[in-house]
Amino acid sequence: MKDIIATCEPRADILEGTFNPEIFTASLNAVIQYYQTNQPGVHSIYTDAEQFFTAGTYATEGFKQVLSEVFARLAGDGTAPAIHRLETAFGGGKTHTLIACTHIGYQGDALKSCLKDLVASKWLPPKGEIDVVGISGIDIPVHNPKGTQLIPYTLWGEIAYQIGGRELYKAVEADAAAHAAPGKNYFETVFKGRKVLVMIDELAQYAARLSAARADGSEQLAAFLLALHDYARSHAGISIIFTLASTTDAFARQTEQLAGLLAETTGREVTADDALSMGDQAIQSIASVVARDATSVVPVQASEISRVLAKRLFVSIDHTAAAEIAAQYGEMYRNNSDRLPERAVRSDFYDSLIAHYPFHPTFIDFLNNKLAAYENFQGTRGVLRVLALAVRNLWQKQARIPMIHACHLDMRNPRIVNEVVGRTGSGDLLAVLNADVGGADTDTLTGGISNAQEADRRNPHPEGYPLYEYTWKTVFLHSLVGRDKGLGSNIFGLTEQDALFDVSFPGLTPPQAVKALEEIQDSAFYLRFDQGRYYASLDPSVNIALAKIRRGLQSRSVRDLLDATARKVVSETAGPFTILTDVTAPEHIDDKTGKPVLALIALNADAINVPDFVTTAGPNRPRIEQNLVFLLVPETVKAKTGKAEQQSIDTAATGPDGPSNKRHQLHELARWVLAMRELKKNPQNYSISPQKLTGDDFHQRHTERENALISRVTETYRYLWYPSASGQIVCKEIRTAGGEGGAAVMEQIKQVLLDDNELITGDHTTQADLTSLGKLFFGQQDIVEIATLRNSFCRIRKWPILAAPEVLAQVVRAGVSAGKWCLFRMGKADATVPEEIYSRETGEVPLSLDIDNEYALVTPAGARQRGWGKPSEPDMRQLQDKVWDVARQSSVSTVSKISDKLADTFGDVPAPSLEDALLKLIQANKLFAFKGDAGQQGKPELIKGAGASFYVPDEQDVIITPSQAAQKGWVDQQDNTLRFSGKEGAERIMPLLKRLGSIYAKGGKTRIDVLDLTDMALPDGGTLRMTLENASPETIQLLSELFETIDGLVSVSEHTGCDLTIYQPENDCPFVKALQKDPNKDAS
Amino acid sequence: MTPKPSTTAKARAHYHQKVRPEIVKAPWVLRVTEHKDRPVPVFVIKQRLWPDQRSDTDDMVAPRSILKERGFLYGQPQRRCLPVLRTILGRVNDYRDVPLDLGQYLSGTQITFRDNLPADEEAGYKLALIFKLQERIKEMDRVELIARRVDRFTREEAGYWYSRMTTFGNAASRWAMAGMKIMLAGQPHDPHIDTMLADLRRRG
Repeated sequence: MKDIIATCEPRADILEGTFNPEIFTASLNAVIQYYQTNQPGVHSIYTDAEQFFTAGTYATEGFKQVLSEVFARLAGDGTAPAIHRLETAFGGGKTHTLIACTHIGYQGDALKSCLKDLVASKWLPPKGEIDVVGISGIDIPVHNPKGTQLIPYTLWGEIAYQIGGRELYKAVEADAAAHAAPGKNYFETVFKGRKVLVMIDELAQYAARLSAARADGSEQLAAFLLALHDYARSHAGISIIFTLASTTDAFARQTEQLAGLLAETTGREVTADDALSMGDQAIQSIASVVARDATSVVPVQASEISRVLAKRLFVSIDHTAAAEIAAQYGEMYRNNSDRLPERAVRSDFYDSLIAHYPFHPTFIDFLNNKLAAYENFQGTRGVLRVLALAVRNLWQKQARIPMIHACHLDMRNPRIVNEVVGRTGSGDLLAVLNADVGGADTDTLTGGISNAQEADRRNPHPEGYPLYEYTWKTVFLHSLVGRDKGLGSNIFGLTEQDALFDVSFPGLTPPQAVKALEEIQDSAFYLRFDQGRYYASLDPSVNIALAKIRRGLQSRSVRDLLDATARKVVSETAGPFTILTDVTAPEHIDDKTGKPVLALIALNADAINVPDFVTTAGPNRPRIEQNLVFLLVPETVKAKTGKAEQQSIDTAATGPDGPSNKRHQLHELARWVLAMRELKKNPQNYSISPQKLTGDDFHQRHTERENALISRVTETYRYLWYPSASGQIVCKEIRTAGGEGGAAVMEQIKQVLLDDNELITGDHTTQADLTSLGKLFFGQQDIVEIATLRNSFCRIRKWPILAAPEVLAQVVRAGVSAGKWCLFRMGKADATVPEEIYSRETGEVPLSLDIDNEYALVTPAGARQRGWGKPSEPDMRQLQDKVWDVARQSSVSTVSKISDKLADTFGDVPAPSLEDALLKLIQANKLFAFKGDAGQQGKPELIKGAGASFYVPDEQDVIITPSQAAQKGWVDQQDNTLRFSGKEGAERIMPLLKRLGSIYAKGGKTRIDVLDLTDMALPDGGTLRMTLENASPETIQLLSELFETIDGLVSVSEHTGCDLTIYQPENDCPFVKALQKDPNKDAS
Repeated sequence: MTPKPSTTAKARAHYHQKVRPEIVKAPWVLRVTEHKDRPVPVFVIKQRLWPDQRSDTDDMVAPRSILKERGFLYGQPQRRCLPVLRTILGRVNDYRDVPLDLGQYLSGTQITFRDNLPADEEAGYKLALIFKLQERIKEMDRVELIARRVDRFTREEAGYWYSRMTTFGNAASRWAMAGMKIMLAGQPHDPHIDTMLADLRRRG
């Protein structure tokens, strides 16, 4: 996004600070004086005509119109109007137009080069041809002056004097010195044969003074004007320009000035009201004359004023960039159209954004419509002064902003403050500026920053803009005017829509500004929101009272409140824990209670050493029940473990989330709550009426803060420290939504402990739970007493805790039912067999049984060993059925899975029994086993039937049902491959070799897939190898002679081997029959 | 390990020079000690019985004053009452009416001080009242309420109520105690306990 620094270049004198804002106060008189006496004295921009037209003037439509019409008339064009009246709502441009006419009147065509676009050169008079009369209604006297110097004291006298000097004045002296309007003779004498430009500035003021000085003054003036108009209309070469006032209440903005002038005139005190009525009366008579005859022209239209201002402040403005930026504004306005005034999205506003660039239209409107309403502000001159200061300030700071808004006025700059606040007579509002917005004296406040700055610090804008300061400043600026009428005035304060419209720019969006406006209610001292408008007021406000109370609060009562709130974080009746609050030292947690303790460390405990709390119960007192200590530690406390964690927690301590900072935030919040409680109780002590509290949204704010305190304190208790199952003292984070207190936190804690297997509840009765509990219970020995168990749950840090004492009984019962252990009671001291024993075989433990400390647990194996209870070996037949059932249900499974499933449904089965059962099933071909993967597709080597004689089931082995194996295609219906190999094979084949050809000739029909005879010994040393592959019966017949020869030649040695494979032996083939015949039998 | 209990040298010197000499004559003594099986420290409030107040001196030649235990306070209730106890003790002055600044011995996150502290009539009665009245009250809020409201008694009120609870026979004392508990701390779970407590805390 382009910013103003890049797109605009201010005039050098503005940047250098040599700019004198008073140059804008030059009057017509001063320029006339310059021409008449050739004395410089006014800023050169006014007296140097060239500079005036080039650098000092932005040619508006009205300006051009006046100039060309006036000089056309003077040049003899009878169609151009003779009389012009300049009107402006802004007080700007009137005098400027008159000065322009003065320059052209005196210099004429000498200025041709710089008047190109303004006046057609044919209308330009030769230099010196025109008599210029310029009269300022403020300066011309109404009484006969004393002294020898000739000073005309009537309007007509002054005109004559300016046209013809002393001579002409003398010629018409009778008329000129009389208070009655002059007759025809006067006009003939004064104007005949001349080209005269008559300019009368501030006519209304003159009229008022005149009528104050003499009763018939205004009538005579009206008569003169009438006559003058008549003469001018009928004679070319005379042009008259007035400035009166545009509105009917000509003096509404200038009553004080008028009163001063009138007091001077009449010599007595004139009140503002008197002055107003006198002024009104005076202009009534002339107004009708002027209105009838004069062509009224508005030299500067509202839309042009910024161009005029820009011309005076900037050397150059990049207008293409302006369009670009206006488009960005337009997009922002469209996106937020529901929050902004309707005009924001209208296309003409887009145009005015470009026209006003680099000023935002709302800023100019503010200056022109609001501030300029103050007389002391001096209309457009004041506007220019403020803008010049603002531009200088922004360029000095190199402010990267897209457009200049009212909120960019630097209210820390004393000169700007003086212009804006001082001239509007709002000095008393400086307190507002300093306390809420941030002004030159804010540094001297307690705390040194304003409320808006504080809000900005709390909630910084992502791009670094001081969001709150901007927004609040806008509200403040709009409260400078119309204060006397308060909300009754429609220029006092501003609505939310307008405020958003004024403040937001690309980068600082309306929703963000809304946030800042909302904050006004909560923390601004003087800014208010009432009847739909934001404004500043010095009335005592709730926020001031609260601030006062907050400062006066004792830190002890703040601590008390925080402690009391902390006690509510966990309600005392919830969960398995005894709740202890305000804990700061190990001795605060009782030992030997048998119940888990949840200790809430006090918010102001500073630092605690967690292992001390777990291992000791005070100085020199070792803690017995170390497993029962649970610490809920707030963020305001530094928790040390004396180990590696210490470092990480220590480093966090210094950051913004460090304990001391958190504590500070809590204290601040508690102060708010206490202050609100106090104010609610005794509002009259702080000049606040009780009705104000009920009417205001105070109640809502109070409730909100109270809740905020509770939730903030609850959130602060974030760390749960406890001795975990790992044996370490660990820290887990508790996250609550906040605000609910009690139950929510307790639930969170429970969840954390359950996740960490630290809490045993009545639901912990699944196989896995019971197995792991069994491991805990029978760590060292196979027998353990209930009393020991209870103590271990309290004392051994690796153990979990019981959610309630009765959970132990539930777990014991479940374990007995699942066959994890047996419950027994020895009874008499001399008994060798338990009086009572409960195991899986005996069925469940009776519900009526009270499992007290006399009972003990023993593992099933331990019970067997001791010969207690029934033999627990399951019946093999029964077990086989169960295994078969389980395997059938899952069709493919591993040995270990089957074992688990069996344990689930039928209790623990000793591994050897299970293996036995499996083996029997496999041997009976009811199940197959293989070593591999349960999901595999490739055919494994199945272990089945007789092949399983020596099989020992391994845990990872896969068990599959025959039907499943068949589905996978792993079972051949009959695998008939005939194989012989090695020495044994040689012994079978060699005797047949000689007959092979004849066997096949006699009907052998089996294809020999491989026949490989090796190391057949040759008679004279050496060996022979013969290999036959894929030989059909016919081939073998053909080779019969070869076989006979070889058989005759070689002998079988001990190395001779054979490898014969026939994949599809035909059972009725003689060769196969011969092969299958046992050679040994044959021999016998 | 827990750091060894130790008071700073300055506090110890203060104790020996300023506090200890007062104990001999103090009408009440607060003993800060440790009891087996009770969380440390245990506060014991003792009243001094002068020889003429003793009923067992018949056969003694030169009977001395003795200290008689009047109540205990330890654990959670003690922690809850501690701020009030500190204020009460903070008002105890020495024989020249110079504040003894006893509150310092009971401050900090951990009370390491183990010895006797002198208390005047007012402080003694108030402590004894608090110690007695908090017995068997489960809700800590009510305990704190009792402590705070007893603290607001005048010396005479405290003395009067203490005598009601101790000197009119077993039954009367029991009734007085039950009545005082209700008077000062209401019934358990009364919704106004919270508000009243907040108000008392605010007023400090």
